[in-house]
Amino acid sequence: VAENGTSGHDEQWHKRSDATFPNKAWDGNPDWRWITGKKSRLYISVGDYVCHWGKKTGYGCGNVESRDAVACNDGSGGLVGIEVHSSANLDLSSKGDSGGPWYLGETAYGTMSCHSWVEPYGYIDAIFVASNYVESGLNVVIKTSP
Amino acid sequence: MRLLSLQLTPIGRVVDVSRVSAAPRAAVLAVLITSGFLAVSCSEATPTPSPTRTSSQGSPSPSHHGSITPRPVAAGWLLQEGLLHGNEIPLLDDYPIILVVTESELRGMSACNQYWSEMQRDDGEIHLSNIRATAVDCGGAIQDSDDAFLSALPKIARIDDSHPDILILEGRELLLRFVPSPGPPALPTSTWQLLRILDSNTQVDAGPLNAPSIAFNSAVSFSGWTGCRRLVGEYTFRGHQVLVTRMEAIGSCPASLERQDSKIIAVLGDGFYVGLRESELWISDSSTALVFAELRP
Repeated sequence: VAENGTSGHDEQWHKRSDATFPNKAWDGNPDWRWITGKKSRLYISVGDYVCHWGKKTGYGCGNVESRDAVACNDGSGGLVGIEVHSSANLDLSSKGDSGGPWYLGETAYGTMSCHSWVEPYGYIDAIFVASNYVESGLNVVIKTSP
Repeated sequence: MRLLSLQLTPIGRVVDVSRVSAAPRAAVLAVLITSGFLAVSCSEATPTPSPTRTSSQGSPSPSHHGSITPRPVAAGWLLQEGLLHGNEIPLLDDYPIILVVTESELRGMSACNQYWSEMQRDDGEIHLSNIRATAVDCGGAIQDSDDAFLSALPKIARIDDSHPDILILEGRELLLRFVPSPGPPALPTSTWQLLRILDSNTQVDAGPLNAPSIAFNSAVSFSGWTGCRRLVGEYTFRGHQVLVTRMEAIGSCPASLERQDSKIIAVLGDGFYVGLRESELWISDSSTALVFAELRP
């Protein structure tokens, strides 16, 4: 298990030594998708359409509301979180979704961190950590080929 | 299904990854394929009226911890009583709700999730924005307490902190009464050997192998042994919850000890509670307890 919760980061990595995993991410739509590319925070723009899968909320999509959201961590925040809102006010993040993937097509965008309150709907907006922060925070590489 | 925990695990601590593994570093996203849940596809539907956005741009036994001598240091405010729409916010002794108020921020620890919000204050009137919370699935009564408080949080509109021994937060049909938190417990500094691992109060396997242990060496550091890997780390408190801020797991495990190693690290790595029950030390999270006995020289 590896984690990074310093400023701007909120990611965790679990490994097992008895298996090798291909470049796939679960989406429940209907099952998994290949990941062949990745987008760093620098290239994520407000308004971008992006989708995710979470254990509680399942598959869902929304638009990037902010690429400068306050990240959720034990450090001093860091305005690098990617906040996603659904114009239909769908719940994009519920308890248990942390760590789930964000992507569009076969491009990895990041992993779920936390959620934020939207009146009157509740904690429906998602905040995720961009893929390049996942990689740098954990010193890992997101696979984009088998 | 060990990797499923990537989806379930709260995150927000620091671990030095430089020595965690000599194994190939697999893709973070790729491990999610191990999850086998059904999900419902959705797409953007017809927009509804614009919401008011507050986010800005920019069950284990409740008795197995809490008996440790409190440290005489205030760590914020402890929720003593809460009423929302005439209903009491359920409170659990072992999962306290802690509030920290600064000039511009209101944050703390709900029953099992961290929360943050920015605060604008005009005398006793306050406006919270950018309300965020981690999304740990706490389960059972802990979840009920956590949900109730986090739902109340956005409704806070007034603060009375003019008294040293009580702090009141109010809003429409909301009253939250806090008292000074007794602060985090002092952790016992001796070395403890693992006796058993309990999942929801049921013992896992026949018993720990290879004498796992833990020692809190100072007010900030600990060391341990999972039976196959040496642990070195630092910790802090969030209310009464211990959060590991840095941990190295050194070495590698044979297959026969991987599950035990994973269980121990999962409890230590995700925020835990420490308590003494008779002569046993209990270290637990919301689902698993590690029970230790003191190693005497």
